Amino acid sequence: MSDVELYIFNYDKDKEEAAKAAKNTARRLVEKDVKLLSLIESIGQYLNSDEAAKRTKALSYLAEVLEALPPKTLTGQQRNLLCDFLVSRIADESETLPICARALLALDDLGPWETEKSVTMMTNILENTHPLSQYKLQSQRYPVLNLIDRLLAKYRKVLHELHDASQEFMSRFVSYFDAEKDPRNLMLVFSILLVPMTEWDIHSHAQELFDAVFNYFPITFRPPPNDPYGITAQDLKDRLRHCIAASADLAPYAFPALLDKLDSTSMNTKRDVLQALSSCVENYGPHTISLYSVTLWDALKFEVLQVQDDDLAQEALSGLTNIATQLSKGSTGALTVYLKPIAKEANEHLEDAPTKQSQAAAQILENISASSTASSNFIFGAVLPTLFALYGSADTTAKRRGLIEVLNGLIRANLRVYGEWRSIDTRESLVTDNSDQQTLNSLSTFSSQVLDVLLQGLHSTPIKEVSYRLVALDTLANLTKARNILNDEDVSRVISLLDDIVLNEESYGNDDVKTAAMNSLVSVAQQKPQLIIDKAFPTFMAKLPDSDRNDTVEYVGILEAFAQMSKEPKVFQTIMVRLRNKLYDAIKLQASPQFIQAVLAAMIFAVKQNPTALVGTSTECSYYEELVRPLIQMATSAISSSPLTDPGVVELIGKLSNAVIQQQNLEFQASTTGHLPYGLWGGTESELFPSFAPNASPQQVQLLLISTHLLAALRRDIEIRPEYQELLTNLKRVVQSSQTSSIVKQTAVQQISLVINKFVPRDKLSFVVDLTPSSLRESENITSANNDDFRIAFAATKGLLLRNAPVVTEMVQRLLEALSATSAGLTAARGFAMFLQPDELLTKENYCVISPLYRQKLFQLATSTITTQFPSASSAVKRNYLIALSGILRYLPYTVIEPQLSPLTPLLLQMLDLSGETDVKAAAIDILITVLVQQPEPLEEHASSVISRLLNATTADSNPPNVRSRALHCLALVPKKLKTEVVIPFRRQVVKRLTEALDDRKRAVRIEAVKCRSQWIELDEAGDDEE
Amino acid sequence: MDPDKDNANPTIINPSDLPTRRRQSDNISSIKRRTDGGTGLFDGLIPAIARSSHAYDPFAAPLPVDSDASSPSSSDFGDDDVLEEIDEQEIYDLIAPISDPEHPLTLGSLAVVNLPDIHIVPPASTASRISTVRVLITPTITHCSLATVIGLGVRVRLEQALPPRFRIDVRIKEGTHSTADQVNKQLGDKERVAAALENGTLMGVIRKMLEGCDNVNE
Amino acid sequence: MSSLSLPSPQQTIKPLATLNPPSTARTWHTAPHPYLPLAATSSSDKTVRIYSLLDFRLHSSVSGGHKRSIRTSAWKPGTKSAGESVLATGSFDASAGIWRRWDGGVKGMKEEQDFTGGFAGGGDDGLEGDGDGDDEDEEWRFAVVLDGHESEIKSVAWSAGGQYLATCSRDKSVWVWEEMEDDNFETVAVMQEHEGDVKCVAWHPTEELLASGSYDDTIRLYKEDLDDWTCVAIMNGHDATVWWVEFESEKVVGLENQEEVDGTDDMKEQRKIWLERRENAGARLISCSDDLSIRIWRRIPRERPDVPTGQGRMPSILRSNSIEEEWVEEARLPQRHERSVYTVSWSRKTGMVVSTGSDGKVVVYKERWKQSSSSAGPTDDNGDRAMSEGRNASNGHNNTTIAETEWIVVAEMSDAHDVFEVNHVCWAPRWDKGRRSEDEEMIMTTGDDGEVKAWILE
Repeated sequence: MSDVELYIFNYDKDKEEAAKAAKNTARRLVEKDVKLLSLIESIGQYLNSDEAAKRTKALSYLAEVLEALPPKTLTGQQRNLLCDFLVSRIADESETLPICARALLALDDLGPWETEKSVTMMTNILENTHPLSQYKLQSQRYPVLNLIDRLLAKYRKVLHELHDASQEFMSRFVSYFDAEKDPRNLMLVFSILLVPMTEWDIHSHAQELFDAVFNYFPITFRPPPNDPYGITAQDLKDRLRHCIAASADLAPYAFPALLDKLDSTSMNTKRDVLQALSSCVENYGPHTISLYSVTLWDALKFEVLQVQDDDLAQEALSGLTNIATQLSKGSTGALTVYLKPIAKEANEHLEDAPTKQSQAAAQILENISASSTASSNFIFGAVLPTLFALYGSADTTAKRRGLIEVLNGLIRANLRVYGEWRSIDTRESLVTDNSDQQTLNSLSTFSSQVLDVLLQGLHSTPIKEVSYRLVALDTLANLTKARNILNDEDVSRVISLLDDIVLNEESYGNDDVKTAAMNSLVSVAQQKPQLIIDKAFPTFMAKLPDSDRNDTVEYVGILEAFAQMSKEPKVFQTIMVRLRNKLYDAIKLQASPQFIQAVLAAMIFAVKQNPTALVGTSTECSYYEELVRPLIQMATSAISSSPLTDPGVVELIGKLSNAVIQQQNLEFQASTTGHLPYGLWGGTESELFPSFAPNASPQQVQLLLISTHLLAALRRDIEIRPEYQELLTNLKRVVQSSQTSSIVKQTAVQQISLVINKFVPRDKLSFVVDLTPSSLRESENITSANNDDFRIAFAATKGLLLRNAPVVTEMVQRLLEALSATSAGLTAARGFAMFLQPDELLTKENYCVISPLYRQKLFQLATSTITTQFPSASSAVKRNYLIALSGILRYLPYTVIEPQLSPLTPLLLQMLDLSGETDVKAAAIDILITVLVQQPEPLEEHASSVISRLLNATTADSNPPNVRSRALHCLALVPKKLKTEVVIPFRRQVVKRLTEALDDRKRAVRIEAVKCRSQWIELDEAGDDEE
Repeated sequence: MDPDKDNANPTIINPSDLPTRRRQSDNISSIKRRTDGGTGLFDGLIPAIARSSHAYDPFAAPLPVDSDASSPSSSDFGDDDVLEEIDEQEIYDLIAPISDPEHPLTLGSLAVVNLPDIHIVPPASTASRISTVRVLITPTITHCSLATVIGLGVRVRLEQALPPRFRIDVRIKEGTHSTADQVNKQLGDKERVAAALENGTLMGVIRKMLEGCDNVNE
Repeated sequence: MSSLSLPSPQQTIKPLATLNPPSTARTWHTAPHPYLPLAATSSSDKTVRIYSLLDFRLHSSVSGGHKRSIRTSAWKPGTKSAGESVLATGSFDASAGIWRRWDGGVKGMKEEQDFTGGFAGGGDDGLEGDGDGDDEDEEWRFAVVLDGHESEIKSVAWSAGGQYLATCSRDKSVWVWEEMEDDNFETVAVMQEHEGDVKCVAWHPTEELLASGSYDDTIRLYKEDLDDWTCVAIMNGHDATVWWVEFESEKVVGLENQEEVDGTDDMKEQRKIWLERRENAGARLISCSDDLSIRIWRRIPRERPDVPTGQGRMPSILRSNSIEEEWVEEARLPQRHERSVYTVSWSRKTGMVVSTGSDGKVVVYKERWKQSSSSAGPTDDNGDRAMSEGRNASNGHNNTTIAETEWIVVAEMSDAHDVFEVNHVCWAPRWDKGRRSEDEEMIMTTGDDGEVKAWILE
């Protein structure tokens, strides 16, 4: 049997076989084993058969053969020949259209045919197969639509000519697709019609075209659950929208039709309409829009002024804004026509501000003004006079506030189109007025009036009118931002007002106004640094006492103000100079430590804001020379009565120095500060560092506070003197001395960690091991270990742990062994909290070696030991294990804990049972919270014990407030995170038990209790459904 | 005006004018009012040697409270022995965030509930521990058909959020509503309220009103 | 005995037991069984918990029948011979249910083991539906559901003979159902008289007279008149919701045995007149209300028709009605409550009254002869005496002097259920081992905390 016969024979029985036959032919064609002609002939006989079925099958055979052919197998001539053949078939027998279309598509894949053939094809189709709907099956119409789509894509030009040539073509073309229903086909129909709509002159056919697509509006199609074609309603909506918005010629039909649909009660329809309108506005062009702008306003405004649904309001709003944006591209006249009624209506609503509608009106005004400089200018001109008039006659502060809010919106919009002082104006390019760029900003015509209103308002309105003053302040801040609006005198007036609020106004409520004023100052500082320096600083400095002997404390506020303003680099320098002088005066005048601490704190705050500003050269750094060095010298030479002997002050001097030196490069550190930590006392190698001197005074020892911070600031490559061995030995002695105050002990301990982490060479680590007290080196002596021994051991271990030195494993193990000791065990347990807690000294910024994995390492070491030893441990020491574990867990990110969760959960729950260990409880609860949030499933089996323990943790008798509050917070997550069926059984009990927490003595706890309880009550519904 | 709303254009109070509890100097919010007129900007920097800016020393007894920011330290709550009574402001804070059934606005911002209209009546005798909370609500307009629903919402909220030693009386403020007496009688009827809470549709509305009140952030 | 001659001596209310396990949800009402040591507690967890009064532990629970809170329940009287208990329940789901259970193993001594046996599964985790139903006899069978009311049923009551069941609802109607044989109930009357929720219904101990109290502040009485039930009286005294009404026992108790030591014959005579009047007027009615008052109502016997004054004036429709009745307010009990009074219970055995309400108080009152109109009663009830006198002027006995009674508070307690509201109080026979006499009574209170407590008066 020939392939054809085979194909036709199998066509109905066995598609596989049939396809094989076609492929076979295709192969032979490629191998030139058959001629195209003979193929056509072989088909020919069937085409003459009187069975329609046979004829179709034959063509389908041809189609499949063509589909199976690789490109370039057919010559152009052959393709044209086949094309003619198929086109004629369409003419002869319209039923065969679908299959022919399929064949033609396949043919076109192999290469183009002569363009005029497309014309015949199109004409043939329209003449013989109109309308398409006569083909009942979607699968029949689909290839045809594909073909036409293809023609419009590839042979657009000729078809365009066809259209230009004949009047009838378009009508026939459009009507051809009537009554198409299938979404897949519709996608094609829309894209087909989009071509003439956008590219051809369709003026005379606009209505037909529009109706053809608008019939389908609104799209209500809902795809079947598992729709294989993945066409969503949105796809259809988008294409349809493009069609509607395709050409300005459609406007006369589109706008009325759409606005009519806008009255629909269906939110979805409304949404579609509004989106369609927006696209139309964007595409139809200024001229067309100008014809409809007012109509559109009248229709759209209601969506905004009487909000039913917020996102509809947004759609409408952006629609209205688009109109303005478009019109701004056209004649000013058109824009004015559009904006007039808007301004008028808005003004009416302003009269009863503040209401929902006045706020809506304000929104409209702001958005539209932001559409272009022209809009902004017009709105200002049309609205501000009314606004001022209303403001003048307003009888309530609330009303004045409402009006200022509107004003603020307009100014914000103005900033967007005209830009701020400091911003390089990117905005202008977006908003291209074709009127010249330099249109006068009409805000400038009103600026002085605006300014007066605001300043006057802020002066005269009582300070309890918080909202009014906040809005006024914000508006003022925005006004000062506006480029080229306020001159320096004006800005100065603003500044002095702000100064006045920040410095002189009496405090009220939560001081939101003072805070806002402060922020405004900061923002002014960004816009006009120099003015701030000239105008604000003097007033602030004047307010700042040289010392606080007349025990005032308001200086803190002022210092904070300085610190805040220092965020602006331009003013940072000045601030530092002023504060430094203030500091030195204060020290001279023996001001109180608190005062000096505050000044230092302000400086540290400023410095941390501007780290780069501190960087000096390899040879000099002004902040070091003029600030750090003198301070340190004063501190070291301070006599006992001096405020510089206050540990707090010393500590802060250390921090400040650290912040500065940290930023300096290696050369500078090596040459200038390398010797600092222990050398600045003029000490030479030989001479002993005063703190370490056997007869050192407490003051001298206290200097360790500074040296710790200096040491921290040094880069690792610096050679410190004295060398680490001597240093560590001394530090160990300081720690173990009974004379040493606890704060100095702590700093010494930190220094041990620092030195070990940064300055002990890798090959000398054995020294560190030997440093640990003997009591902790042989496990049998552990019981004799005292606090200080542990201090040193943990400090040393921490230093190594962070740099992940190999030896650390055994050191940690030893500390873990200590847990089993009855007395010492508890101390050891507490120590584990030291390792991972946030540490401001051992940081990368301080050039410490921080191994990325040290957390995991400690976690593995600890958990493996603890989880194995805990079960067998005697009840007396069980708590030690739990405490140690919690000391580690509480600082670990969830990702680290996660893999070990299941073995740990029981331990976590037991932590909640530890009496007295409130921070262990707190930590355990926090971990439970993370687990609940991250991956609650493992907790489900423990639900009952989790819930009951948490409930116990909410009772006032045995738990501090923070535990109670966290427990409640955690308990609130339980019903949200665990499966309902798991928690339902506990619902009523929990809801009942929680009434106790509702009466907690602490408000903050009660608030959590309320939240928690309502979460559980919410379960109610679900619960009842179960019954 | 929108016909299907009683009052489509109510006056709105700005949030910053709503009564709030003056933050206490012992809470940790970044901006707060303090005796020193500062905002606590430097708290992280100034070492109050007591709670040292140093890493805490686990070996120094007594153990200081964990000052890890992630868990609020006890100091945020002040001394646990200091009893913070439930007061009118607290009641206000419980009901002000309830959202109005017909506006996306809160009862506070619509001035439906107002601090001066909340009263806590202490126990009548030493023998009793029962206090009474009286809340007067002010409907946005005198014929507001939703007054009962709003009142119910307030009552439900308080029944869920206050300890049982409080009796809750929710009433319409004198002369602010045309059918105040009927509404008050309904709101006062324990049995009706209880039954209402079992009415699915009604509870749906109430639940929606209360949605905004307790968002449990994770 | 002669204690009454002294100003009312305070007795105390002593806690006897808290029934266990409690409900984790609000409990509304507790009904003591007419002849078995059982009590049925209705809870908003859609369950009725049946507690044993021998040891105050859960005996069985009735659940699964109602979709919403069970507000109330009532035991059908006179089923002893049949050996089967019948319980009617009224629920917020607008339906009433009839439940049956064989009495097997709930009498005499040996049952106590039965109970303890029965408790095995009586879970104490307070989750609903866990009443043990292991063996057949323990099972409560949901026999019939009575549909018809449009909204929540608030109260149900069986007539004295058990022939009729009355139900009332928020739908303002009172229904009377008659039980035909085998669980077949017929609606014999639907009375739409009230203008608001009907909060409670109660039957007269001897007559087929039904009383209802309502949200519309009135109390109404109904009677069958040529097989058609109609309203025969309205009592308009209360000026807020009437929460509860209850009839006195058939015979007046607590007064007749109050021998007056130095009682003059004259006094005896006056008291005899009073008792006669009570005799032919029949059982009195007591009611409590949101207006904080507790009032006692008395029927003016028909044979002496005379124009009523202020009290009990009735609409003319009723005037024309031959079976209309006239009821007047006879007395108000001393006002002790500070918030709504939810229930009063009038002891069939001692004639004492106990009340409770939203303020969580439980107050016990006693009626006693007044020495003479001039004698100063306990300060707390001056007001009341004034009022009873006012009424005496119009009670048709002003020609012959008649003795007067007065109500005094004999015991009072605050926070009976901690800080929670108490929804129901009633007198119940005492069954536990500690009981001092066959017919000793105890007080049972039912609270919002889900607990039911038993108390004794000492």
